[in-house]
Amino acid sequence: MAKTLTIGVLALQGAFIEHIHALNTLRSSEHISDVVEVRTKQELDLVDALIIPGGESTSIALIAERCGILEDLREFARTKPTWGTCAGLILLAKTAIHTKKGGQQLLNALPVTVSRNQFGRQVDSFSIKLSSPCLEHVSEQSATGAVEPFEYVFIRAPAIVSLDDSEVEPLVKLPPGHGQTEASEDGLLVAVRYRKMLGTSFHPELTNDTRWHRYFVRMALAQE
Amino acid sequence: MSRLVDPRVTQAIANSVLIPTVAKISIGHYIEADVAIEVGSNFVDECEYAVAAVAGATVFIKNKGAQPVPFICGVTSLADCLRRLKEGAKILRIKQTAAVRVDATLATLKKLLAEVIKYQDEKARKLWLRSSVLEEADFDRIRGAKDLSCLPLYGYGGISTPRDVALMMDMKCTGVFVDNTVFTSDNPRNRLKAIVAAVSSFDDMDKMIDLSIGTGERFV
Repeated sequence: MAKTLTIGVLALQGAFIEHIHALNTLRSSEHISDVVEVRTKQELDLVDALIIPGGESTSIALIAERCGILEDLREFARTKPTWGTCAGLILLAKTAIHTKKGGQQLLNALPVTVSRNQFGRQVDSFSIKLSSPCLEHVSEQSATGAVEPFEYVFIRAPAIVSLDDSEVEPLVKLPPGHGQTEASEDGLLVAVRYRKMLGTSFHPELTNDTRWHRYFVRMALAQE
Repeated sequence: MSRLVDPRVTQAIANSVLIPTVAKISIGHYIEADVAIEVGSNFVDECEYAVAAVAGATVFIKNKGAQPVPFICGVTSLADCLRRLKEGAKILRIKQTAAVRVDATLATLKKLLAEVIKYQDEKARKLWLRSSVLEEADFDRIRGAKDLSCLPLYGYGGISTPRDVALMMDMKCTGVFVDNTVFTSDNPRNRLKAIVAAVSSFDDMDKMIDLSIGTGERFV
């Protein structure tokens, strides 16, 4: 019998319901046995893989700490498939810059440096369609053999400004001209992979395109 | 309460925090909105001020959907909710009339819930549409709804403890706006942390008891 996954979405704060909806649309076509909103250690123990959604990274960490689940999340991120989107990426990281005075709590799992609010405020939000070779295996091919570009949505998004381990695999880079600073003239990284972790600074749950969710499900299954 | 705050203050706050800021403007005042956005606000709230020049304002900004940031508006009825949403508001909160008390806020929420439920009845719906300037499509999002989670509605008014928050979340609000009184309580830092955590843990009695410890008792 094919293996199936119980996927959890951390539901302490932020855009968790959109991830739940996206995963639910995939239940019939991917090997997902259950989709769970995670708020407690008991619920965390039930899941094989976890998505940490966008929202406010400091709030998610604050609530996690106040509810006594922060250490459990750290342990989970080190050992089981975990995907951090936007705020979730910041939380997952080992290093974050442009944080508040005194820093903020992180899960210290993904060996990258993440820069908060890289692209500016709400008014600076943008979306961009990019062809994404990493999504080829989860995309339908058109008659010409071409793969549909993915629409990347950035809202007060962070960016990955350095890879701090040779095993980190860059997946998607923005073309120059978007939120770049002198330090990263050749384009900012917005999706990376490392062992059982996936980190994306955009919001894949805000469009109807579920390819990144498929990517994560298949990635998590391959780790079993 | 005064009207739009000095832009230097708005800018200073927006530059010193990493979380989104909300600017309060007078209802319908799109120039105040433009200024607030220009100096760095992430959200704009069309506010029911008590100052004579703008008190009792009823005409909101039209086409909020075309604005570069999300708008927040106050509501006291289901018709308000649907009108503001039609104008493009992204977040709704309970409007403050006279009383700024949790029981008044709860009463408004219950009234809204009753209206949502009543709409599901065929006869009531027909009557409603006949008497309303709203169209059939405007009611799409509440069709089949059993509670207030069909609306992006935030509890507001008199909320200053984790238990108040739980009351709002139990009524299926999307979130809460907290009163300034928390900053003058005995232990603002602890109380605010508990308030934030209560949004997630409102239906867990053990957690709620834990969150109520050490939040200070002095109410202003």
